[in-house]
Amino acid sequence: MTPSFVEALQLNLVTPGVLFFVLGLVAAVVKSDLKFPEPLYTALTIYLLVAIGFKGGVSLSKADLGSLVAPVGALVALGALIPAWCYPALRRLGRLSPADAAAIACHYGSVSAMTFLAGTNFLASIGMPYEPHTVAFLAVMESPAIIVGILVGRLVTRTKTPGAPALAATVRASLHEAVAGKSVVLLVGAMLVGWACGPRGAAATEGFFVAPFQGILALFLLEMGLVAGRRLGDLRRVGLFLVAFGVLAPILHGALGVLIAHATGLSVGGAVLVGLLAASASYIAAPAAVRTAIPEANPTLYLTAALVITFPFNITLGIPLYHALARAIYGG
Amino acid sequence: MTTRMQKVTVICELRAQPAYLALLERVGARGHTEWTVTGAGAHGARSGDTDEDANVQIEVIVDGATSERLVALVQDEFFPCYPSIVYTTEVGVVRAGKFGQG
Repeated sequence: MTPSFVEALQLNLVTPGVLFFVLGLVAAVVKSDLKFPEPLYTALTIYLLVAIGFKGGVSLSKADLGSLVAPVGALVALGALIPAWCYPALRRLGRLSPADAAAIACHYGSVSAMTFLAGTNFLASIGMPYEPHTVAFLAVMESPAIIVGILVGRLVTRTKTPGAPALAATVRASLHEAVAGKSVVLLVGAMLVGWACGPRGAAATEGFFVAPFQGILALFLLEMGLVAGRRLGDLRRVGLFLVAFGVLAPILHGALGVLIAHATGLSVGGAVLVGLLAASASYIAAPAAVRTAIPEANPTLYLTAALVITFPFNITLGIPLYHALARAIYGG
Repeated sequence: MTTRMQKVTVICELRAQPAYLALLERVGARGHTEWTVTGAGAHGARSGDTDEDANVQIEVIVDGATSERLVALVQDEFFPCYPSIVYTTEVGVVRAGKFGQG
């Protein structure tokens, strides 16, 4: 039986991932000395990206690739277009500087793999099936918005700030980040390995990539709670507008994602994940690219929006919300 | 036997490292040493938990003229975008040729 919004919300909140995230938040708020060494954070990220990419690649080896063309095309376009409306909204309504508006737009057009993982956990917990190759959408949506947002950022920052890279250098840097950034290399690379190895490769690595996955994700989310919790104080500095943007933009983008999934023939479960992807904001690939390519932008604004507002919103309220939206649109 | 040279030290966020290394290349500095550091200052605590919270300390040894050019470039092009601490120290080096002198 499909759960109602309230039931879905309860189911989603009482999962190890969300509760460990909350534990991390609480630990940071009470100023606990709990601290993950940086190499552990990096190792957890590498594991999760490789595991999700590999498993997605294995399922791609069994999928009809032709059926992916329409949703992939539509989602690449959505990712690239999100900065096109986020930028003017942030400039005009939020009165942010051109550099800050472009930087935030990059983050919201790009995606968060960990938010996606939280969504797959939710679907597994309510027993709702989804296309296992949706991870391919995660891979293709990561870079377009970063490239578009950075180009917008450089073009609109007319009074050249000393030290800001020239346009040609920015194009090179953003293209490089799009193909060689660590999250892209890990995710796409592992997907290709999984695709090449197929089910035989999955069976050989199951003990490492599947069995411990949930525990490692929970540990990662504990660390994310700590990181977000330490930045809670920044909420006061970013202003009410950005807090509202960090909640409303995901809802709008999530609805668009669900509509695209519906129009391109994905299942309800697939639509929840695509909605979640569209709603998510990057906090691994985008901050790295933006700090180099749009150095005038204030990192406090885009990191607080993506990490302290949108990420927690999506993994707690967002998932059941996009689930309810998908059910309403699919009429189920 | 040592030669007097300048050690230029910068402490900045990890994300600013590529921009600073580009400046080093522009002034013709040969090589550098860097390591991640933690601390606190005008921008709050820099815990080093993630790349966004990490600081890096970069040191380079150059001759006096290069040091002055580097510090001027840092003031004009680096400080406006990347908050950082920069200082120079006079050092006595062995084999000055390694650092572009002698």
